[in-house]
Amino acid sequence: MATQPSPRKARRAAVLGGNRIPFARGNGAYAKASNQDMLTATLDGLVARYGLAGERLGEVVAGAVLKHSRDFNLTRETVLGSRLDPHTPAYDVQQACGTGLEAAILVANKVALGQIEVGVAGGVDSASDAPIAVSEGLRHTLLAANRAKTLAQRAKAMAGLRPGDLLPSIPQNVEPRTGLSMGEHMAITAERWGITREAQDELAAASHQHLAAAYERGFFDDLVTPYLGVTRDNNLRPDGGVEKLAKLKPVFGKGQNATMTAGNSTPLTDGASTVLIASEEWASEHHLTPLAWFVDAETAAVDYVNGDEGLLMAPAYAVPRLLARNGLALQDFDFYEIHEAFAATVLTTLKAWEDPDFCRDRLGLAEPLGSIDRARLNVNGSSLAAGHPFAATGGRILASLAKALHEAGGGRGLISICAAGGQGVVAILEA
Amino acid sequence: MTDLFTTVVRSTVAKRVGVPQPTSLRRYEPGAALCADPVLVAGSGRFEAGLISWLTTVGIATVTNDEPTSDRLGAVILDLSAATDPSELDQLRVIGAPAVKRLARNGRVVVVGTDPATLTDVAAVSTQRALEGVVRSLGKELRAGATANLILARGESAAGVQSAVQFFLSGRSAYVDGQVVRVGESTATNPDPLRPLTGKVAVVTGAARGIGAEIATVLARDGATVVAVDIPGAGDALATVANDIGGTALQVDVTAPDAGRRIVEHATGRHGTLDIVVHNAGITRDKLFVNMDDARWQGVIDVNLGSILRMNTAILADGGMTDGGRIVCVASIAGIAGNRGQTNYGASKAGVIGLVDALSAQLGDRGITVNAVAPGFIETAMTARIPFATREIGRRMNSLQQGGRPIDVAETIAWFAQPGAAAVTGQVLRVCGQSLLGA
Amino acid sequence: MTSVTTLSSAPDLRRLYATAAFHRGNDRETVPDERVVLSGIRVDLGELADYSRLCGFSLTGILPLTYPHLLGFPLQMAVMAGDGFPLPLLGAVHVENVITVHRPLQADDRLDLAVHAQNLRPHRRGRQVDLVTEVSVSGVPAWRGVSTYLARGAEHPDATAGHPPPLDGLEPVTGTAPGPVWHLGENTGRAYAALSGDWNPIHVHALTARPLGFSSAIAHGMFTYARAVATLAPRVPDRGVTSRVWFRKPVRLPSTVRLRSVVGPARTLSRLESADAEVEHAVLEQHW
Repeated sequence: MATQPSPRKARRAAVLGGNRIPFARGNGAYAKASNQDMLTATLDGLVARYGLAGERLGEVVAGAVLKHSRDFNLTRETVLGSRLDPHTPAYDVQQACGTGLEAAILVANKVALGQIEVGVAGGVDSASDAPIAVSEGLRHTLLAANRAKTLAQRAKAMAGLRPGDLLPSIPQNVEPRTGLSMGEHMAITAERWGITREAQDELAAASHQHLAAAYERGFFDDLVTPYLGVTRDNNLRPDGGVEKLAKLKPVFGKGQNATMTAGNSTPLTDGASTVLIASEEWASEHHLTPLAWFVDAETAAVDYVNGDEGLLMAPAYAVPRLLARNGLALQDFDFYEIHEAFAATVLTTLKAWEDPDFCRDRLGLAEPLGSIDRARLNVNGSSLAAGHPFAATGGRILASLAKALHEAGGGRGLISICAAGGQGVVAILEA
Repeated sequence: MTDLFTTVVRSTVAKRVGVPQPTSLRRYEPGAALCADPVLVAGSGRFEAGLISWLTTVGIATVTNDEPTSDRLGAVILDLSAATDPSELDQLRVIGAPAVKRLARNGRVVVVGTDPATLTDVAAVSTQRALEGVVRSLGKELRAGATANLILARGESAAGVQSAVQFFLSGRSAYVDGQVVRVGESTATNPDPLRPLTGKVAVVTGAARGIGAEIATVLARDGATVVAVDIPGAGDALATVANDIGGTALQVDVTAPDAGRRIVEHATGRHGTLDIVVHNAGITRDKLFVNMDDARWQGVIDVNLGSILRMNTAILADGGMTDGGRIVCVASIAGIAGNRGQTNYGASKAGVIGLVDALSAQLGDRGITVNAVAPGFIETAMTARIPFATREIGRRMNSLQQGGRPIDVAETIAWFAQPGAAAVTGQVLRVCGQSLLGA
Repeated sequence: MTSVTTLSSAPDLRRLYATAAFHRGNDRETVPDERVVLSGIRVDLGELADYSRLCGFSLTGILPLTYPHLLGFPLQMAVMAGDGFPLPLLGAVHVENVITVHRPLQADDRLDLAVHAQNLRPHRRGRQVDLVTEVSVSGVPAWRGVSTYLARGAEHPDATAGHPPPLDGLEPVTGTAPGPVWHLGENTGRAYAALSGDWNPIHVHALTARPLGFSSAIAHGMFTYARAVATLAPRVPDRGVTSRVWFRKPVRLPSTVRLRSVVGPARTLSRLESADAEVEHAVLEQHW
């Protein structure tokens, strides 16, 4: 394997804090809110927490996975509707469920390079206010009619319309190249790795318990701002134990080996998150204490279409590269934040790192990465309990981990997020 | 033809009644004159000359009793601080009665006396004490938004008296009537009269809505940098308050064990200092005493009183509030007069008054003042839950014959917070329109 | 003494418009001393979201500055439909509107509305009257709107009129900051009517507007005003704001208009004009 370039010596980017709105199950409390509404409310909450009203920031970077065509400039439009100085530039990014973390990497890199002093990274998604498009047939017909110069040409173009073309095209949680939903993909991987139903339910129950406990001890007091009457993530079931989860019927996979239920998979969720990232100097000028430093990040992708890898396995590849570049072992972390797209995703990833064959054959490592101390995993709950508004998850994890590191008085944390298209985005924070 | 109005609304008409409208009270506006009309100053007390020269410097015309005219008077200030014998009280009547007749709408009567607690001569003590009876009775006679209040001086310097007079003359005291304020020695003044709180960092708990939001807004208007605090569940409303006033929002439950530390860290960490704390957060959980359960009792006592005691420990520790700081609590008429169904609330608010007494005495050395406002019937979401008839009675049963507004409470708190009010400590000032309750 | 009519629900505007043609006004010199009151209104989050979307407000827990007007409008109509009300209901034109927000209204507040008419006075082209809508929460005044309506009639050449502020401030930005341009479709009036319940025929369709003297349907003044307020909203605080609009020339539908504004530290001043800047549709001033 070629030598990895070492990270450029640059100044450090600090995570100063974050804000998100409570995540709400789809078609519920936020059904009428658009991505822009939610992201604006979230940004304004961040502005209030850090006293940024009227401030010009270096940039705001955010995105959404499910996006209306009218939202081509979603983040900039959000800034213009917020309490920030309108001279704050902004742009959109989109890397499926990796959007939020990728946005943070972009901001942190610019801060590290001295191109900006401060920026906001964020993400938002609405499964309720989803963009519904016209069918391909209708779209082509309308475009043809639009190009037509005469009435006759126009009539001819319109005559090509079939009744079926009038059905709208609703976005689906389906991989375009395989036609399988993410859950179906995950079910294949979970079965291949022999992930049991019990292990998945245990992880899900722990996620709910951890999130509930974090709320109880006020952990989210300065991370979450209520929105439209919702004060806590409403997918959270504090009293949901393993027994209740065990009663649910599987929804993905087939027959005896179907293990994935609505309880150990994330529901469709609406929500938004933002993170404030700045240079040490800016933080000090604004009397803000860095919660954690953004150390490094890595992205990876797998060939799940024609290759032999699971759709959500890319983080398993990204993490060892990141560890190697930073001279770290998998065990050198105080906190692990592995996004729970499905309980099985987390369990598969962990199992792969413990597996000598996988580590040797796929990762090219002489020794397996080994196991982690599960007591350090998703200690304040994760997506199974909080919900997963795709692009908003990265910001949720980043702000929570930074605060956890700060509370612990120092330490190192690993973030791992899988994304559609066989991608993975991972990062290291230190405090 | 049918009356269209009836056609439209007949099905939805509930009732038709006539409603008398109470006097619209004059409220404070920055930059506006203290008083539109001239002020009569009389009484031959030790503060009279100082008050006349100060009023002149701030552009208020003063008249003395020797210049008989029939012009309207904006206010009547009677300095009886030198009176030592009951016979001297007659001055109040001789000078005051004709002057009160000339009082404009929303006029003011301010009587200045000497705090009887500083006197030993029996005749002098009873004479000064008598002023309270005059003022409280006069408050009930005045009409058209006019108020009467008493300032009792504990010392000789005019600055404290002047600050209190300024408060009572201005629209800040619109709903303060028939009250007594004691002022000590101080020479402090407001460096910037238009923005008296410039450079100060203030914390307001319960700031998301109602009276708290109003306090935060008024303190910011007066120049303070405000940390708006409320429970996390009210964070969205809190954020708009903070963004509107250019402050910061801090979501923390005041009953959390570390609430005080978090508040101090936020204020000093973000804004460099902590000068003013307004303990406004409060709840009611009404129930008759015999039916009072543990949750209602403990909840109210802890939010309204226990949390303040705990937070004060952190606030007053090293690295917390600066010397010369201000602590203002929100008590209640219920803590003075009691209220049916509010044994828990009454206990907590009376406890707050005790806290003000004890703490103000302890903190005198540090120049930190501790005061409370005791709101009477203030129109808020809390009072809106009172049954209609009771509410109407509460609203009308005071000398101003109307409910007060959150701004009235906020303005009084903002006065306590001023540098110029350094001589005012240990006071519980009722903002109640001279409510008949607990009078 | 003021007569107070307390409603238990908002009047049905469709019913009102259906019979509005019968209300022709009278010669009285004063408006009836009457208040119409509706208490304990809860805002429907769905309707608020639709309104916010149409006018360009972002959906937060705070009501847009113009939203309470929507809630008070049926009460205004009830007052104007009253037997003794001097102006005719149909054909009255909204010429001016002032809104003062003392404190922001939360979407979950229980709102108490009171509407009364006052200040009937001559106008150059007829007579005008103010409809005052007051919104309070738990007895605390929070929002006040004064809508001035003009009924064309006997001319009063000497009457004083409300004058918008001089637009000098706008001159420097001419050319450099074109401001937002809105294409208002023929269906604009119906879209806003569906939300507001204001199905006044002059807004609905050219065919219904013509009998009332308009060659095409015209946009609701409160709609174009709301869009302008929404555009400026991020730069204006939520409390202590007075927002005033003078409706100059109606916006005929369909049409393209643009909004030019200057934003100062405590004031905004805007002009809503036709795309070619020839027609001044409205002037908007806000200060805090």
